[in-house]
Amino acid sequence: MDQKKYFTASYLALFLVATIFLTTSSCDRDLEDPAGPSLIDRFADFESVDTLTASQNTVDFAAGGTVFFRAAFNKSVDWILRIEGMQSGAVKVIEGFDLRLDESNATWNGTATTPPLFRDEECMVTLSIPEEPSYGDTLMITSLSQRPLPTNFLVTDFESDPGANIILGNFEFKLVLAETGRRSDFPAVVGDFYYILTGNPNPDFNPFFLGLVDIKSSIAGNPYMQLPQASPSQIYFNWFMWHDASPHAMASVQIAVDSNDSGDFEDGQDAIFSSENNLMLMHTGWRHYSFTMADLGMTSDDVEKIVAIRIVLLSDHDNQPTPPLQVRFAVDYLTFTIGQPLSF
Amino acid sequence: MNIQIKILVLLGVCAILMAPQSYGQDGSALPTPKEEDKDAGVRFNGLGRTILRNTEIDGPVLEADPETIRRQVDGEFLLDLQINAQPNDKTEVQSILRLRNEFGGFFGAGMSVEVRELWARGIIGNAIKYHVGDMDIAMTPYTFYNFEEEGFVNNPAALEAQREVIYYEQFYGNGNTRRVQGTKLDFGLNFTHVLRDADFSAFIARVRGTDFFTIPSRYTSGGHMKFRTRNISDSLGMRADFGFNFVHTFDDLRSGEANTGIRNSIATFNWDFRLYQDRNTTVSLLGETGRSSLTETHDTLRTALFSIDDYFMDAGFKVAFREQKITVQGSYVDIGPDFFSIAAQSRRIDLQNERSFYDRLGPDQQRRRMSIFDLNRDNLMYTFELSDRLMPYDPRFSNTMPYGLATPNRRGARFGAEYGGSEDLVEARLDAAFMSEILGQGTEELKNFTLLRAAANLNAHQLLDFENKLRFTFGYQFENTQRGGVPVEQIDLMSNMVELGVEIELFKGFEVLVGGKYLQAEGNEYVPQIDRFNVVRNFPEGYEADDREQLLAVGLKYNFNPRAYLTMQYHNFQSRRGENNPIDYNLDQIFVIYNMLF
Repeated sequence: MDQKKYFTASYLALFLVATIFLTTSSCDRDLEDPAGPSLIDRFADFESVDTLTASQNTVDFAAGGTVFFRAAFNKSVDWILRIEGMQSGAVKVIEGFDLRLDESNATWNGTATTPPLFRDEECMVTLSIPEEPSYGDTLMITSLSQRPLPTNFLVTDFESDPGANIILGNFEFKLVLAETGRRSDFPAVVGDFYYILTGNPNPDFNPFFLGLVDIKSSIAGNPYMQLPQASPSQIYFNWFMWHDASPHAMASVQIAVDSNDSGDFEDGQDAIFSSENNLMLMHTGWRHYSFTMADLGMTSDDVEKIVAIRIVLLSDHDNQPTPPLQVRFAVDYLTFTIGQPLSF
Repeated sequence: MNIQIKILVLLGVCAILMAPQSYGQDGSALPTPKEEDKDAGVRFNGLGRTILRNTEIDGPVLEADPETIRRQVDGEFLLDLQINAQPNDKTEVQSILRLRNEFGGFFGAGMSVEVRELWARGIIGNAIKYHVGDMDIAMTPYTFYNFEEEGFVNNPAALEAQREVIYYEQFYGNGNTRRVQGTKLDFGLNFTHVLRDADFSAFIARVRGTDFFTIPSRYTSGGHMKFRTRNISDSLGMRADFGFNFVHTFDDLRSGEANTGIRNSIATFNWDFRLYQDRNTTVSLLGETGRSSLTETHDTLRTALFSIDDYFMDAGFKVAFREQKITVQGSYVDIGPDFFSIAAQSRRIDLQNERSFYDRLGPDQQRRRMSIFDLNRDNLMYTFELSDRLMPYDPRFSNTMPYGLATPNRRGARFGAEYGGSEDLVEARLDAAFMSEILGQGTEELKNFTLLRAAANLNAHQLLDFENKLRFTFGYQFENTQRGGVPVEQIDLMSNMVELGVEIELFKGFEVLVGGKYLQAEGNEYVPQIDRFNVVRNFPEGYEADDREQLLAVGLKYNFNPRAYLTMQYHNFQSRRGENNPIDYNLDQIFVIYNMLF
């Protein structure tokens, strides 16, 4: 082999080696999980590997405590963890699709999926798997305290006597006063008290309107609600509403603005903002509602002069039987939040 | 024009300018200058074919199925008229007009006239070959390659007649070409030092039309640069041939209203280094390596919605002993799970196609599993088109490499040995592959594949000093797939396929053909549902096999001349799954084929 050809062969060999090296070594495969769904998840029979346990038997949510739950299966499944307060009836539901429950996917900080809020009470924890109807696991834990809700812009939780800050409007004497007012007959969302309105519709005289309650902003300490500068679309008004699923009850929640700058709420003179549609109440128990100030058509100037919250009890007269049925609802924990609805 | 094509053309132009000599490549259909005058003008050639088939079905599957007709008669009369014209010594045009009439079609019903092929080609400046229209393209097994269909090792001659029809209909030419429609440029260079010659080729073809709404037109472009060297060492016979290959498939988002499309690029380097050669022995290192990328892009966002890339390597050796007529080769392959090469991984058999006969059977009209009978008979199962995802496959026939050599997610070794030639007493070939997955499917456990294929032809007339042909053929395939893990992950699928054939030429041109084919498959597997971009979407159900299929054929064939024959055959097929399975069935077929090239 002459020298020229020898060098040529060497270059070619070097080129070949370099090409193979560059092609293969410069692109290491980043192999992650196996391709496709797990065969075990897809085809294996379900088995419970570890039973349901809790990280602790008691938890103090008011002190920021949390509790997490553990369980393990042989395959990933859709599981549902349901926590129910034995006194309050509050319910928290945690759902997931996994092989196991642990701190990453089954931690509870005292919040509720369905109001009211949990309080100091026994809680029953139930783990179920819809695809495996025969499977179920249960345990009890104790909630030592209620998880605190934000109180920065709280209007009222009815826990203290409102005095003259609440005006009951029973103009047509259709409210059942014995069943109207601040009460604690069933669990409130927060604390013990709520405010209930009960009315008997009169088909002969304004059959829709039954009565109302005006809650002045002064109940929170100032003539106007002290809200931060924010767009009306970012200011939420939240309330919890209880209903017993009896038909034909409707509600209207309205915001009163001190349009005559008197510094006090004056019915008939101040502007009232309300949503276009009344709430048709069909649910049972407590439910959370919210709207923004922008939803009511309020401006930033209006927001600065919120002087009262008005809650009206209405009857769905068009669908009422004869004689009409009594209607009622209760409200609790009226508060403003900024940026998002109340998280509970 | 696509940027890659521009680059290839530019490279080609530069090479021409630098080349000491240039010439038109051999292999052209264009005549040499001496032949030009003789062959100039218009020529008429073509193919005439008649098929008449009677297929009957019976068996337990029909006991509760009164709907399925027990006998089907079908056939066709077909004339492909090839018109080839050479208006001058630099240009050639050809078209094939097809006249076809269904068996039983009268007064125009079932009759069709279509253009089966149309192209033009020629030479520009005595240096660059061009081809426009229908063309057959093949590159390397990892770039642009129409790999062989499964279910065949050494098919008996008795079963070949219908398969030849399928091959003709699907444009399956020699060299694993794939039929496309577009344009192609070729040119070559000769060198005086180190390099002997270089061959450049570039093409672009439209492989899918737009529906003007959601489906954009799809194009495939590509090319290669092949270099052959002179002997680097005359004493050793050392030579180093190598090449660069590139294929780019893309959607034209300016066609129709679609705003997303794919880009699939494959760039490879292949080599064939002859290390040693003497009068009897040749030792070579050969292989190919490269990488692919696949992206889905949005027309207006100009962002990649999906992107994967991967590489492959196929490196091996080949030793040939000329006097002993023995060739041995082996290679190590590593093909990444995300290696994506549309034009190399598209299968010939599309299991989703509806078959032309008895596609559904039984009281609930379930689809029949593909069988060795279907593979030999049914043209509708075959395709030459490109698929933008890995097509479904039947693991009984091919599980190790269902997408040919470019099957992604495989790593392992392949071996092969050949002995003899077609005119020798014995011609044999043995292939083996021992592969495993690189990435598990549905589990971290990996499948292990073993594939053995053996084929042999015995020209017994040489042994017996028989004047006419007496030939025995044999084919065998063993395939085993295994995977460990917990019971639900475990796989154990084994299949055996045997092919036996006898060709007896009683007198000149008149042959008796006898053949048989047997498939046995047993075990379990999971066949994934593949979504776009080769994403494993699901495993619909465990694949269970306890199958035995048997196909027997006997027939007569008369060869009028090397370009025309008439054959009449009887085929019997039995499909059994497990013991006394109510979906078992039998097929009987009698057919006549007259085929003539003119």
